Amino acid sequence: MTKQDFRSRDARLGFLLVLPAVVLVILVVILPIISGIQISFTSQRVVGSEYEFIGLKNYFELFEDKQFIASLGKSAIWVLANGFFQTLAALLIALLINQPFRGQNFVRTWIILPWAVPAAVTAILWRWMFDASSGIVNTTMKGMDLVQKPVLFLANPDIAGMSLTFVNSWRYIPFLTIIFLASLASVPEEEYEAAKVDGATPWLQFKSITFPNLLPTLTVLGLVGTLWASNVFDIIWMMTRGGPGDATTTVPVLMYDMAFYGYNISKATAGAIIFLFILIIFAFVFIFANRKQFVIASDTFQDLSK
Amino acid sequence: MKLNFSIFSLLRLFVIIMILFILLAPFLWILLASFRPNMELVRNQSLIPNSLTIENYVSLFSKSGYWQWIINSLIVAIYTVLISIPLIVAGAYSVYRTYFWGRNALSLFLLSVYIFPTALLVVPIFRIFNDLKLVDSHLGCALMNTAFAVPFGIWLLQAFLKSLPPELEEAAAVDGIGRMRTLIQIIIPQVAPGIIAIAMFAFIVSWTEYLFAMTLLLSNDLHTLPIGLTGIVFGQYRVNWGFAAAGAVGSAIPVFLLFLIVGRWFIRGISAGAIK
Repeated sequence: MTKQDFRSRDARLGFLLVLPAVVLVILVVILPIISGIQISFTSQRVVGSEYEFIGLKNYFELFEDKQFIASLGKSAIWVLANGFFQTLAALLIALLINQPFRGQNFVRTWIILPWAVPAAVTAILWRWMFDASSGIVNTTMKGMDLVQKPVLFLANPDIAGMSLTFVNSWRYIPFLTIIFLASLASVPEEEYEAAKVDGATPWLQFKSITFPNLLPTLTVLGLVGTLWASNVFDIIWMMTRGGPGDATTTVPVLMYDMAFYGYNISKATAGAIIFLFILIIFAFVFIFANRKQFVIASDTFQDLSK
Repeated sequence: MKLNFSIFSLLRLFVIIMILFILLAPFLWILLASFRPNMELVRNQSLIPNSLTIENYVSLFSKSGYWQWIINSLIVAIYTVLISIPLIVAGAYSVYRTYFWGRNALSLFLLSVYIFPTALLVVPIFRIFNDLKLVDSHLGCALMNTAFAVPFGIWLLQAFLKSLPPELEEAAAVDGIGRMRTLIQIIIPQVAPGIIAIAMFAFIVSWTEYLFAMTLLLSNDLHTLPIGLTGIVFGQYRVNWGFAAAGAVGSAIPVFLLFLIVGRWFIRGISAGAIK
């Protein structure tokens, strides 16, 4: 077999192996987006009803819709508070529990539980914990004379967003922490030993070994975590339904409400497309700015097939 | 110097315990609440229960669709795991251990799944799945979950796959063993811990999924646990907290058992193998 022959066979196999995943993603992501764009140009109000083509009317209406503009702002704050804060907190926790201590294995296994239970369980847990009259958080704070009146964690519009951010972080930080821990464990031990021989301080070790090794993980989680945060729906819907008032109505919540409770599917889908467009721009800028970290595979196997 | 060091490690231990408390204490709290009568939960503000009861569990197990929901959730999760594993292993091997033009772009394309505003595009998804006769079917739901488990699952396998020496393929090639056989007979046994980890990941993705199950599973007897639980807890005007607590515990127990058995493999399977 010639080298050229080997290489093209290798390429073909590689492509064939990843093809099923690509086809599935096209089926459940690309096709619905195309179909969604079509719906957004119509006047359809409920699934299966009569409709006509109305061009960009839904889009124009949305740009003048104060509620929609406000929800974009709330989503922006939500993404900053969740995506950014969670990644940072998870990184710090991972660094904290990466050094050996008694019970480390227990922590590494069980810390992930909040991520592994359905959102419905999370919603029950925290609605009950945050309850004004019998919730543990309020009764404890009252017992310690920290507050006079119960804090309305989910019913006070000034606090509800923070409470939801806390609950959502409680849910996702454990998972991100585990991924950082795995990434920390993959740093070659020799690099630290060499640094210790050279007398490098812990801070210098972090800066020159740990951080560069974590950077690819940090970048991928920065991208994926932001996208995950921006599309969070279930936990908000189950805990506040976007309320009180519109206090926690992010774009996904508003669009879902508009589609299925406001009976305006086409306009809601137009809102979804606008939101998607913003996320795509974000993703492109993010990937371009960090393009070195996104070179997913090393070039070892390029040599192999030459 | 020595004193400083021990103060630091005490402080570190304290912070770790605080984090663990915040993450896990709510589960113990809800477990306790699930054994208390609802009226006591509403009226009595003391931490220590006056009376314990199993009535919440009796109504969960015998008066709700709990067992049916558990079975349905398991069916969807098992489908998801069984479809995800081959797609993830093949995809990850392709991206991280073969060379072809555009593999980086393809792997980024796969991660683009998470751009998709799930809550907003359920209508077009419903239409497409309706055409494919996948509405009201557990398989349809599992395909949806698979699409969201595969891209990140592929990325999760990278550390493990990258840690294997390229000599594995080189030696096999010298021996005249084809690339496909190398993958199946040499690589896959090596990445077994990674496969356990991605199986767990796919299982949890499916077990916690709410939106697609709610949209695609129309018949009551096909509902999964999150749908059923949400219905009986938040469907009522006033939440019956004792019952809700029992429902939460009942939904967490399968996950708890899963982690009890294979939990320690999760982090091992997604790192390059340094964890013992």
